[in-house]
Amino acid sequence: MIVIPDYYEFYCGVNIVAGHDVLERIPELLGIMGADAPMILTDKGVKLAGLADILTKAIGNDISIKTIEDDVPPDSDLNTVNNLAGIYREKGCDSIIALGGGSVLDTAKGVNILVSEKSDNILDFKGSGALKHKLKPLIAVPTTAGTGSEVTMAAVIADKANDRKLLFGSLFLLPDAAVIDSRMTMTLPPHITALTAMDALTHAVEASYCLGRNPLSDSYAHEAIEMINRDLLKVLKTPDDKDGRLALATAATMAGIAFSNSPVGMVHTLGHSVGSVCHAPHGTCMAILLPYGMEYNMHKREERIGEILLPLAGPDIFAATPFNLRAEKAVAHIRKLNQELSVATGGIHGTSLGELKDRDGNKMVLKEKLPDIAKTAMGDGTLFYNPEDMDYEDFLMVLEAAYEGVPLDRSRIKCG
Amino acid sequence: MSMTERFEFLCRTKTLSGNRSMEHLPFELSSMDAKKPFVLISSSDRERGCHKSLVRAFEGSGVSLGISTVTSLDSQSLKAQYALFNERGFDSIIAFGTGEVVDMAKLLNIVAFYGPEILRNPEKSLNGGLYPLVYIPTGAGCGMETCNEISFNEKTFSSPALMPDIALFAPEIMDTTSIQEIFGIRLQSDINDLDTNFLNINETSNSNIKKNSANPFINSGLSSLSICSEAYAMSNNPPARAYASVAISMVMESFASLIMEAKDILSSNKNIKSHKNCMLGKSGTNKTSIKKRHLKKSDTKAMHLISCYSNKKRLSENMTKIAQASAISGYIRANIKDIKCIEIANLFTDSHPDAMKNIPAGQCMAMLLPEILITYEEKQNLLGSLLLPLSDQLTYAATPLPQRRDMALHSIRTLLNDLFIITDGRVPRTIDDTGIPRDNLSTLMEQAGRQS
Ligand SMILES: [Fe+2]
Repeated sequence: MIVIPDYYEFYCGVNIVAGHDVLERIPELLGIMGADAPMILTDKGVKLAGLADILTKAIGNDISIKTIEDDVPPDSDLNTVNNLAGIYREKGCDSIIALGGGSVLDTAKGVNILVSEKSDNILDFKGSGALKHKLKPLIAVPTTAGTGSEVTMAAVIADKANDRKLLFGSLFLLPDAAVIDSRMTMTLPPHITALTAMDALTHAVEASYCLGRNPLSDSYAHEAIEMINRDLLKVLKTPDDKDGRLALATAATMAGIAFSNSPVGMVHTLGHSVGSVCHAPHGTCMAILLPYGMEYNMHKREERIGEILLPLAGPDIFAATPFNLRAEKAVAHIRKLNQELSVATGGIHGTSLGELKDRDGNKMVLKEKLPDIAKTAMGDGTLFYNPEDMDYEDFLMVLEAAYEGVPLDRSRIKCG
Repeated sequence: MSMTERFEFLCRTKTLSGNRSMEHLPFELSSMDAKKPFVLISSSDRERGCHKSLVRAFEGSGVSLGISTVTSLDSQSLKAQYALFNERGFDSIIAFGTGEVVDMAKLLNIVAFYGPEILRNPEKSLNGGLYPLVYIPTGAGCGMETCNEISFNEKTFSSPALMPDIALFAPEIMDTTSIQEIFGIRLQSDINDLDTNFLNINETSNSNIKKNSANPFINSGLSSLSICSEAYAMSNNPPARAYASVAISMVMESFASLIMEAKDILSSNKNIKSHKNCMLGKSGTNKTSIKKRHLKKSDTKAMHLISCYSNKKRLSENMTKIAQASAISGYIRANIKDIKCIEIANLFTDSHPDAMKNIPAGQCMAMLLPEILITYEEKQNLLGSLLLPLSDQLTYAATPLPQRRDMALHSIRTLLNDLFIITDGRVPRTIDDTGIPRDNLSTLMEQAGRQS
């Protein structure tokens, strides 16, 4: 039975163009939007990996790229946005191609606000709903298969001088097109492939059981989970599997659409906090914390989490698992997947917070930091759509279990 | 699903769904900077008064609505609507209804934005945009409402800009007459002397059904089911599959509820016959002639049946599902090219004007759907995966991979067989049921094969 909520919205007006050779279509896409003088925005890592070269070669000489800017920091910030808007105007650009991950996209969205609204002060447009008109053409070319920012209507820009993060939300922030080309994710190393895919999987799974779910977000999430389940381990075994790469990138976009219409929950709440206190990579936190999110919410969403077993583990396992064990089986499946990813990445992929190491081999998450992380989590807005409430002690309980890598003691959950 | 092909998908329509979704419209319009929407409505919907909830939703919002009735779709009326729109400075359009109302809305939008000269050269691109367009179905719809095309005087405009900005589905405003008509047929043939007034079926609509089987609920459902099933089974397009899957499930659920209730009535017609007086009494339209009497067990059963098919809430929900599936079929039309069942249905209707004129496109597509799906043999896995939206998780998962294809085809055939029963044979199951001579078929299929 399709579960239709009393009220729901669903939207993704991004033109999704995917394939092995679709970068070549960018001039045509810009042409439809009446643009022919793009600025390419990217970061140093992406450029170093040679992806900007592939892009410019694919675009060819039919249109003139006005400038390629690679000065986007890992956390997009206000000064960068202001500088880039200046360059955009100076060089006479009429559109932006954002080549990269979340930070490049956020920066591009910020620049687009300034140049489209002919403004020098982005603060006039912060919050949600402040934009009223279509912005200049923006094409997103994702280079990771995870964040889904190519299909989200939000942007986060850090205002470092005032130590705050500026949030922007509007339909008009959605890129006009997301161009998903397998060449852009082909060379991702195994552990990055694993952690970005687990970020995407978490978007889809949380969107499936959190409070904002609706028939369309469920369906997008289902397709995404199925593709990740089918292709992730396959791609790790054969990294140049073009079809598999494209499927993972598509799945990330589909999961992005699912969670922009049915927001994520506590896995992201905790993930953001572990990230900000201990600087652990977002995808790694997602992979480790996802089973705990499912366990913590199971008493409220047992049937739904059980349904996720179908795309997650496939029809045979689903049919062979009794109704009352499906939810637990789904959790077990994610844990098993994490183990397999750990093997496939030579142990880099973490399965507990306690075992995470940074590049120098130092522990990333110290046990004594867990209370800090729990405190930070209390102020995160993503808990709003989580089925079960959480207080400081609940956060700490989950963090302690995730630190050790042991299943949650579900009898300790305060059922609200 | 393998991803060896490239794919592209764009649906620029935002879905709002739910009984109180209209309350969100003022905000949605203001976020598109629209302050003065022009509402187009059919005269029958206007008579029903269902637009009042729209008017209520805008009370106190500072947005002023203009309401105009669409009586016909021709140059003259378009001119008149354009004059109204222009003179009073409207800045957006709300198409409140389906079919011609939406056609008019799209045409008006083009003319209002680009000037009337544009009608003479449809090749001109609409890349410059259009005014915000909201689509609020009051019934099943035909699927063209949400697609990216509009034809007028044999000219066709095509652009993603023609897809509505918003499609709003509110069960409370749905006209459910066409579902009630199906029960009407059932009851009338079972109990010829039964006064069906209590079902609010008027004589004209009922005799229409007898002449042809143009029931919008069934036709729209079958058309969406066919288009979405074919798209789901033939394309490596994950966003299209995600949308199509929802539409297929919605049609199947809505029809399942209809069929179950109609069969219930069929199997209990003896009860209904013997207790029709009791039913009429309960319905409240014949209060004067029938007094309440003591109920026996069998009366309760009859009462239950009446409550089934006169349950307004369920009827509206079923209609809303069909309306939403129909909207999705429009997104699919806009994104997936070469859908065979559309082409073949057109071909059949064109080549057999006599035999097919009583068979609406939706029924024609559904009747041919299993054969069409079989032509995608090389994509058998995709065809097998169609069993999931057609049935449910457990049925799908419990069916071994090699059997899924046949099970999927079986579900479609069973649906048609059931519709055949509950409409007293008005919905054809096979070409034989339509009376088209067998020997013409091979030529037709050949033609269709050449075209698609
Ligand atoms: Fe995430």
